[in-house]
Amino acid sequence: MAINMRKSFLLFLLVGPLLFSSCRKEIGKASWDTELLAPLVDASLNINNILPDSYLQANADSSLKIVFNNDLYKINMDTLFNIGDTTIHNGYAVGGTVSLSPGFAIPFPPSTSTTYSLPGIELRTVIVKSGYVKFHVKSKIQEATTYVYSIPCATLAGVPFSIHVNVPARVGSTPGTYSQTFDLSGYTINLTGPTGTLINTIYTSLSANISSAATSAVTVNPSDSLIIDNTFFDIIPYYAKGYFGNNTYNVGPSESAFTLFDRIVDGTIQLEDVNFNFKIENPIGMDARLHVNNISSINTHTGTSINLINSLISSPININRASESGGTVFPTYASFPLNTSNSNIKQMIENLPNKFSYSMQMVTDPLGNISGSNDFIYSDKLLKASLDMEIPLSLVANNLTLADTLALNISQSNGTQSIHDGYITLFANNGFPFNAKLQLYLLDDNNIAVDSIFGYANTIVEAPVNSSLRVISKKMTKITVPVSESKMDQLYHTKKAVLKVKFNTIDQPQYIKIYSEYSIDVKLVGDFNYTIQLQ
Amino acid sequence: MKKILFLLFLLAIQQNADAQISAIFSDEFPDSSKTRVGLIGDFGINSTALTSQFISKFYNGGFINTELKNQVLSRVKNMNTVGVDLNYGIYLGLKLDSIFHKQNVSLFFSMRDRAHFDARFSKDFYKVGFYGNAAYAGETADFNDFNLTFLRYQQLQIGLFSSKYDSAARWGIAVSILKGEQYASIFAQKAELFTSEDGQYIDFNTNMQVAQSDTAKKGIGAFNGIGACVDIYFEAPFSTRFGNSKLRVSVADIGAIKFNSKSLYLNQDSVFHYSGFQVNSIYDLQDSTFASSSQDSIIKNIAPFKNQSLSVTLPSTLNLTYETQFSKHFEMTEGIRYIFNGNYHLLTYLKGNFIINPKISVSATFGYGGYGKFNYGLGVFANLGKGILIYAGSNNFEGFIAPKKACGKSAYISLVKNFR
Repeated sequence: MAINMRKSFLLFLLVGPLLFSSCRKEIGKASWDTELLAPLVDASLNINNILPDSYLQANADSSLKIVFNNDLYKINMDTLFNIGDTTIHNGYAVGGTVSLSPGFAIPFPPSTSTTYSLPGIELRTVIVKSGYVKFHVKSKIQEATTYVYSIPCATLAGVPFSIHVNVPARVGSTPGTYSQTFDLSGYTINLTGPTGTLINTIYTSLSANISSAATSAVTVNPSDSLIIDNTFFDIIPYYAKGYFGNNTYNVGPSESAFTLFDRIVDGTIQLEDVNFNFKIENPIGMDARLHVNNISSINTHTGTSINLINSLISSPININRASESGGTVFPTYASFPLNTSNSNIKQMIENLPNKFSYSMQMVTDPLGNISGSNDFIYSDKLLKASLDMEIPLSLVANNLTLADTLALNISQSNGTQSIHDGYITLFANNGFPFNAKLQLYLLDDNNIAVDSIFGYANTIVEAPVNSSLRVISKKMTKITVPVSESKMDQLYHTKKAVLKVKFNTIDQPQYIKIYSEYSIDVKLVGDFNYTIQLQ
Repeated sequence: MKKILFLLFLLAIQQNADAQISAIFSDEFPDSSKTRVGLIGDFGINSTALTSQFISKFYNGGFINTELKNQVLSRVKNMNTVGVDLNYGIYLGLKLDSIFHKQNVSLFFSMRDRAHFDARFSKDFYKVGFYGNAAYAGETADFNDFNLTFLRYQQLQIGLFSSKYDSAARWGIAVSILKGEQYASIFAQKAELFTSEDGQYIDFNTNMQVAQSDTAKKGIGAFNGIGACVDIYFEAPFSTRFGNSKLRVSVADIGAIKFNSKSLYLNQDSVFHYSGFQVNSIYDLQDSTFASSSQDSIIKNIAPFKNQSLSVTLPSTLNLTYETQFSKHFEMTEGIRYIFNGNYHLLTYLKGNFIINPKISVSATFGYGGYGKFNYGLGVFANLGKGILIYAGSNNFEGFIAPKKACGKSAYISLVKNFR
């Protein structure tokens, strides 16, 4: 705007520059170099901040332990049975030619049923979590018809599923049609059929009438058929009851992610103690027998795999059925402790696994239908095997290296790259009884490390400890890192970096306990040659 | 007599160089003219510290190198000023006797676009701003009494003035309606920046007020405020042993603008302690440190502006001159000028006017004060005939000829057409 004004007023093309910021944008951008000294990052980090995603608990003496639960396996309802999509196709026709007045009943068969194919499974009741029935009618009758379609075995709050349908008359050779989908969520379906003695059976009923709005009687021939398709689809049970069968299922070999040591990429750790529980929780009203063939700790970084050695392996575990009372389920539990005296679990954890592999075999209802077809299962209450662990943070760390990938976007939003070179100084006031070496690797687009930031000795010194190996005070370390212009340029162009921190406990090989009050105060200070560019 | 009047007329025109706004009052309306139209404009920039070359680079863009910064550093004192004024517009003068049969009183209207900027800053402010704070490690940089004002508005003026140019006293008065376009100001009674020795923290101790007009509406079409002002002019001729003399006094822009309630205002009296972005995890450096949202939230936290209307007093200009005609070819004028509310130092000046012939004259001015220190000016008048007059010049040309050592640059130009 200001430039336009100057153009309009020739006078002011003669005058000198203005110091109006509002005009500056349209004329140019001034820039100049400065030397800035400023803190960049301020952090006080305790063990929670260094070991994210961990579940730390403090003992009475404020020493810490990791309490972690890792689910190995959960049985799905699909594992036991699956109610697939099914269509009940019914074609109706009168026996001979009849003349029917308005509102008169059409003599069709009143009900029909279908049985799901579920080998070895005898379901008697299902509560639908989600699912639908699609009702499709094709009528060749020359008058509008009305229908009452019911699924008497499907009830919601005690009321059977029932709908009234109006189907238009055939026009010429084009039959009248009606199609509608209904939600069955929440319906309880009795699968014992009309007599109450069947299994896996669903049935429907139909009554048909000539529309009462018809103006005159209509002649119905045997060729004036009526076709009704009921399609039950996407039926997912919330609850099922019956007999789930004496079947054998192989579980695995499969793997389960173990995230506790996700950021540890190198080094070793020795733990003073490890306590595990192999735990099975069964909220299903069904007996089972489990054979654990194998459990392994896998470190994919080192390629090391360690198999569990314990009597648990290859010994059958009998799992009792859960009970149900008033809608409340009472699961059964089986627990098998794994510790340093009865297994090699310590070695398995010191392997710093990022995965557990397992292989099991499960037999359902090993004693047959002893419940009188009263097995039950809820979709949100499933049998699971897990590893519950408690690891006291009393350890020896030897070059234990944590790494994490960071997204970098140091370039300014306007595209300028303002920092030329300078120094970054790290002030670390360490309250942990281990030292740490830092490195920040800059990655290229292929995630290959192309450069690093710390080129000098950069060890954050450990805090001093007393005779009980407990920290008595913090220790300050100052690390200054020169950042050249070329390195700064590389930082501007780097989108990703890997931060690696390498820990070593002092006085190895003694175990060092980590206490909840331990922390490290970190401050990054920049001393940069910085170009200011006006916007 | 006509020659004398004409000489006095020229003198009046030259006076315009000191305050273009008062040109309409002091300018004689010739008897032969009933109406006149004038285009007027003036511009000026000066500073006690900044150099012309520095300002040119700062404004036009480009890299301000160390040599350029050092130029200024050698001039910077403990407290420094800079000021800019820009005015241009058009006016229409009408003799009332042609309308109401009144004698020697004229009516005028004018429209103008006006802008004013002034600032006062310390040596430390300049050094931190252009060299950085690293040199102040372990020390306090003193920004106390820093202030800055930028005001832009449009003016619709109506006035009366006595247009008979003879031995009688003359007067003029005008009132204006003002349209506020843009305003920004910072007043920091206290502002101290302490950088710790090792850079681990920075403390900023400040007591300041910051105000800004509606940021959503900018440009000459923005109507962010409304105001009014008054201009007054008085001139008394008398004789001395050296010749005919005149004493002139004028006060311009006595008024204010009220900017609307969408304006922003901050009144801060705090000590900001900055020790770096707080990080909760060593893995959250990116999110915590570099995210613009963090910076935005910090700015909002430390500078919680609120919306409210603002009343802004205009920088008002006082002019007082005493002029003496020593001969038919030379007059001398002594004057002072002062701008209230504008970080202005009293300007005292001396001007010689050399009348080459009735149609051409030149003037030279020397002064001290204002937004700069020494002021040097030159002006020229030409009667182009057919009622067309032009006068142009500069009160500060030192910035043009010594841009590395001085700052002052100014220019004025006026084109007048008299109609019978």
